[in-house]
Amino acid sequence: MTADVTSSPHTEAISLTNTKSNVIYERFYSKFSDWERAGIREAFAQASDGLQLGVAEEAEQCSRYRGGVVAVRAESDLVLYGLGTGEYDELSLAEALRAVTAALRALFKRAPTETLLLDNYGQLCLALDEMIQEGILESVEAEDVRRHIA
Amino acid sequence: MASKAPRLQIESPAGKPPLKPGGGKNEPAGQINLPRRAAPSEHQASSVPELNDYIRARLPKGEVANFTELERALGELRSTGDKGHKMLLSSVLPRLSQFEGLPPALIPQLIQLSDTDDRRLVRFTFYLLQLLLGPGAAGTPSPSLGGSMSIRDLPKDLVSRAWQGVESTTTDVLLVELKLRTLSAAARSADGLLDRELVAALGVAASRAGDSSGGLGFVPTGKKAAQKAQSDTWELQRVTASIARASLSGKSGREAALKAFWGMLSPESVGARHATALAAIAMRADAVGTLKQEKTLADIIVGAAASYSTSPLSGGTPAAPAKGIAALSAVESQMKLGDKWVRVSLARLCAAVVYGEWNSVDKFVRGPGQAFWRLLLLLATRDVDALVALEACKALMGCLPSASGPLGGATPPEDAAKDARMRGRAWGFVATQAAPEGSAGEAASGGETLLGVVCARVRKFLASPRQPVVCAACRCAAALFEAQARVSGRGNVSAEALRAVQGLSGTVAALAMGPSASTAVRCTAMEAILWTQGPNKPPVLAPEDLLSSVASGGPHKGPWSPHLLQPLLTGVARVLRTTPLAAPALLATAAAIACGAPCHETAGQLTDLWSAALAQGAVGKAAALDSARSVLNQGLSLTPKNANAGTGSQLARNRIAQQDVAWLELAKGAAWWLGEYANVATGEFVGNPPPSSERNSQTGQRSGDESAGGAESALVKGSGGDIPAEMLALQSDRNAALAAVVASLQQAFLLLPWPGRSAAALALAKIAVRSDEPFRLQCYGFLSSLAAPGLHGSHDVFGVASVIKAPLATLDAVYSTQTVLQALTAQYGKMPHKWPPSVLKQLRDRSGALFTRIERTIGSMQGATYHPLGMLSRELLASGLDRAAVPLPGLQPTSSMPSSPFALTQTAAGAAAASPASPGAAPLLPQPSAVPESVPSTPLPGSPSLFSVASVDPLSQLVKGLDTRIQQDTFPPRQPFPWETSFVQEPTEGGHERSQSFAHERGQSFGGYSDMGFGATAHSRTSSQDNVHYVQGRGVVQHPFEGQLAEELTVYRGEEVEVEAEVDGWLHCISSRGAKGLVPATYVRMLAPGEHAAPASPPPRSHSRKISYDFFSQDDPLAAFTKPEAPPAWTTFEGYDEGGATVYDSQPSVEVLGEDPEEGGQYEDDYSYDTTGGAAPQESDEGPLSARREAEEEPEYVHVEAGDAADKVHDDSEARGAREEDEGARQVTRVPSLGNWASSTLSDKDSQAGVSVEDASANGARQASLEAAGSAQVPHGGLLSSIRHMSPGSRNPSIDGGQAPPSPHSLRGSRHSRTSSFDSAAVAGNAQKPRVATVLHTFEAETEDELSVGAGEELVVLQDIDGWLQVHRVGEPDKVGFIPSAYASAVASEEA
Repeated sequence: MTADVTSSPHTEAISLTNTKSNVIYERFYSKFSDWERAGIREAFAQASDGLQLGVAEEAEQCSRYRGGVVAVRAESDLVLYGLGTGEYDELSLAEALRAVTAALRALFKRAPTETLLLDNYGQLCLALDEMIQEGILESVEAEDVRRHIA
Repeated sequence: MASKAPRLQIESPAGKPPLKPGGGKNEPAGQINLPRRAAPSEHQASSVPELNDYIRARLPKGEVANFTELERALGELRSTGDKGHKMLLSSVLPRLSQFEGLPPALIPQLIQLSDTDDRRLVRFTFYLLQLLLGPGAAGTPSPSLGGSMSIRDLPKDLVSRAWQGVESTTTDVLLVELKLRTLSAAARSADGLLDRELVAALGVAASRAGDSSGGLGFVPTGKKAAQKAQSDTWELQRVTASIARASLSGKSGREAALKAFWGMLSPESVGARHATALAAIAMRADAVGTLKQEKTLADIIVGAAASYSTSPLSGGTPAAPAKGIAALSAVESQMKLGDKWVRVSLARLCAAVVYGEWNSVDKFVRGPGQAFWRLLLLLATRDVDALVALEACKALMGCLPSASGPLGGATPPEDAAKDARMRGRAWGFVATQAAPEGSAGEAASGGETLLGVVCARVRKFLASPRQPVVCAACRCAAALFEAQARVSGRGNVSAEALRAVQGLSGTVAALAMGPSASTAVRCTAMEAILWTQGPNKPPVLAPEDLLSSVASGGPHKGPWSPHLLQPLLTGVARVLRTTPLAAPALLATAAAIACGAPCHETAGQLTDLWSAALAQGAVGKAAALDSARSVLNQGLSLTPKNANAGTGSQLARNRIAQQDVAWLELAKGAAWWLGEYANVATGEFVGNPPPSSERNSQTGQRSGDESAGGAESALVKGSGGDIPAEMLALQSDRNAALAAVVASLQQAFLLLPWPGRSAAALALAKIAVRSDEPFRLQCYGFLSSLAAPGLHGSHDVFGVASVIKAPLATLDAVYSTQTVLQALTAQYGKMPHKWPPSVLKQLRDRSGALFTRIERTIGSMQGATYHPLGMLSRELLASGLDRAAVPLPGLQPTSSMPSSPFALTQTAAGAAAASPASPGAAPLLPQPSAVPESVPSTPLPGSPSLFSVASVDPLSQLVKGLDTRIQQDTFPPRQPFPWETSFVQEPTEGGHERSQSFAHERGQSFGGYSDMGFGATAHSRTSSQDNVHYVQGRGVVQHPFEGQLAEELTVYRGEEVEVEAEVDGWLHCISSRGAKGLVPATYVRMLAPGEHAAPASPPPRSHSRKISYDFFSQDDPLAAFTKPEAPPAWTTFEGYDEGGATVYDSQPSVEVLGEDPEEGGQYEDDYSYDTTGGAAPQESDEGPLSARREAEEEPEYVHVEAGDAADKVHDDSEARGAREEDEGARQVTRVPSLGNWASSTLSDKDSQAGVSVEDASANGARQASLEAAGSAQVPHGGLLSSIRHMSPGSRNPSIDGGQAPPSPHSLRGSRHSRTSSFDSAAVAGNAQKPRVATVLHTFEAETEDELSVGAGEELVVLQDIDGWLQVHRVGEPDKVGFIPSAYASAVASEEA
């Protein structure tokens, strides 16, 4: 029996930044070196190039990074990124990011902003940890999340 | 919320004692005063994490951001109760979580912190533990600290306490869940070390959940306690399923999946999602077995389908339950179909079942699989959610997500094969199905077929404004196209369905090339449309359009990112494997992609694609060649786009420069690939029958006609022999593809920058050595011309001399060996059994050594059967192998053979290939006793290597007459010989006839060379007592020698020793210290009576230096047979260029020659180049090329080796002799008093060079020069000529030292041989009487020592040396000059 971490297609990384690409929170679910992490950040920044903020249907973009796909979603003054492989293609990632932002909105009872997240950094960490576990989308129901982190 | 949270602030001034939390008198509520601490030292700072500037700037004023302070607070606040915990949760832990890199030393502290009843604190603690122990990272960007700690590195008590409770049924489920997740993270980062623990923990949790659920997991209704228990049960099941999905694979993953089926009915949607996903994995692995095992699954699916069809999720169109479906039970209603991810997993599960390994999908669907097919159809054709609909459509086409491997990795081969089969089955079934009920709307636009409905849905999603939806739709279309491509033939697919697919492909193609779509969408669309590429069709995406899009379709009108190009090329590779016949269009597409936005990544992928195409049959090979050639040549047209490099911003210029570099990388890759694989792709294997006409016709080459067939047969017959010009023409005609490759490489060489030039040159060298004529000659001639001088006499105008030097030398050796083989064939015939076995063995040894050299200097000859020496050599080398391999009794080298430096040298020279199993043992060079016909041990000192060969093996038969003559010339009857060596050869095992008696005396003039030829080293010093020769004399040590055995004597360079005797190449010496012992003979130069050792210290710069280089002595296979001795291994080192072994004499001999009055005290540096790289090709075609190369780069070559046999055959040894005369005479001209001193100079040169042995004629001439030197006057012009013809390369061996060996032809007619003629004339004195000749052709003098003459003039010939005549006009005895011999009539008999 082997536990091959490389064989499970999942979300490789998510990142929350402001509109100037300053990272507020990022999480890598696989082992990446500093260099690889920097490459992923650069890919994220490039993927959001030309992102239309405030337009619901155009607030999503896609890109590629190595063998994975990148999905970008703008939400208020935040930009969410996801890097996925396998079954987490562009649409799956985008749906996951959409679910996460909805859950954060429900959790904080208002639209998540940079200030809000920085002020509630602990809750943000735990909430995202509940919503995406080891790169796999978990519960995005605000009540479930709140119950687990409270 | 945030503003009210207590903050960790620093208010105490530095130096004050720290205040305990909560203990400060004036401490405001919710705040804690912590002291400042001294800044960490530099060393400490490197291990202390820090926040980045942005996050630090966003910190509330005064809040602690120092990790050290936070770490200390963590420890101090841990035991301070609720208030401390509140502080930890509000300030310390969130701030710590902002550090992306936390030190592993924090783990024990966190484990201790988790031992509390505060659930929130426990939750946060395990979050950090999960980060620290797992493979990932979280927080904000900050430098990594390096190092990691696994759970095994922790104290055992901590570990046991941390995992305590997992097995307990009373432990809080939340705590168990956290611990399981942390263990799972640790297992993922521990590379399998914790798998067992993880599986055991999951088993415990699963059993606990199973016990609680009663085995099936129906949620009971009633009491709260029971509900809580059931809730905990589902929670545990969710966690175990999630962990199994994330961390388990292989057998354990499948086992976990099999246990997850009943979890599909979980009332918790996440648990149901994970369970369904695991069930789909289990079904995909083995649908037949799993379905038999899980018999309730069909009922669950039946209920789910019924429930779904009547729900708004399916478009709000209630559908009647299928026939035969029983009333739904309470169980069936529990499926959480409201969760879109559950539906996605359900669609995959159904597809895995339907497309399982059933005998017939159709029968299965009409029978037990009806519910699965129905639910799959519903999800694909009616689901309102784009994610579910598209994923279901993909599943419908057999496209299920597989373990895709790591980021950037490839799908495992076994999964890929299973995917391919599943897609084929899917297409075969789906393409014949009619549109399902309830899809009238879709059917109206897509036809009455299922494919029509699916295509219509996909086209609808392609028009979505959401990029992710469009991308997913493109992937769905790709799945459909791929399924179609996997099935050959149309089958029963209706025309309507095909039209629908065609319409979809048109939509996707328009999207791919449309300028409005984003690059990501276009990339995905291109990936999809690649699958529609069929054989014998033009590229779906025009390469030029594609190139333009890729080059300028990226952000800011720049090229596409490599991350977009890589999946495209990966897609091309996948399509290529599926439809090999589409290789031309696919590779053209790939070349356009790579050339449009060149980068390092795509360059590598492109060459991989070409290589992959080689395995796809003749069409693939031809396509790969065409693609590589187009990249190599057409890629040049991309460079003008970068002409505006100087106009943009700095960033733009940098980007353009990077593109230029990347493009060059691409061109280099193409050149490399062509060199490496052109022969394989064109079927050109030297020494093998030429490519068949069938293959040529497949690859589009002209062949198959009678003439080609005739050429082939003639080639087979004529291989190894003379090839007429007609044959060459036919040969080039038979393999036009290779001819085109050679032409492309030559063109690229002329147009590419230097790196590309080098790659092209090396590629040509590879083709040359792996191809038969005329390709070899074509490449060789081109490479040779590169070393030729430019228009104005400039050297190495292309700058590739250092690159092609070693390959050219190797090619020379190949040609010379071929010549010898031809001569031997003429003697022994073409039947191998008529050849003496020993000759065959020699041939095999030479061939093996030649192979080694080729692989070292040019490229690998593995992977195909190449016979560089021609077709005849194949039979010869294969014949008698067994017989030759049988060791002859008592004739093998013994392990007791002393490991002298020579043995090492010989091993490196040629025996490595012959004895790979015993690299440290004595070399398996032709042993004197193992080759009875050979004359072993003592090659002719100073003789050309070929004749050394001739003297040590039966090849001497070839050159017998010349051998005798040269021996006589080289070794005059009487010289002061310090010792004498005799060998008597013993008969062969089979009585093979020739028992040669060979004896010669060795003159001191060749001092230093004793019987230390390779044969000598084969003798043990102690086993040849009969070969003791007593010598009385003194010698000077030429190289330091450190005795390693008791009988060896350590001596130093320049030391004078007394020599008592010589034993098999070892001298018994007495050092100046009185010590006695053996010293290799080649280390000692015997002194003439009255001579004293020259000082060992280097002379001043103004004095002449003579440094001998022995290039290629190590890697010349032939040298192993011919070289009388090689420099000690410890005095040599490998050279600089690829594979080319260059041996430098670490102890350059220094001769203080004194001032030369002729040069006004200016001495030249005379670097003697000495190579044993094999002689040049004998065909006259290469003569001029080689001559030019040598004339410019190798003014001081001295030839050895088998090429000298060719000299005999082709009668051009005179030229070489003239060269050697030049060498010898030039030294003589600088020595006022010669005689023995001059002889010692030469001998010293020989000893330094290791193998400064020239052909016999050369030595004869040199000997004559030495003899005559004392009385000869040195003409002024001769010296000037000598200086003038010395190339810069010869003056700077450190830069251009190792050069390709010249061919004998290079000497023929070469002007520089005039130098030697002149000097020879000087030393030859009045050996010839003046005669009269008539000028046949007008000759214009180009140098001072030449004489311009007109046709018909009468001349007085003073000297006739080496093709040049020293003449003056009749009546003008003062105007003496040289003209070519061919310009004058035959020397008249009339004396002047």
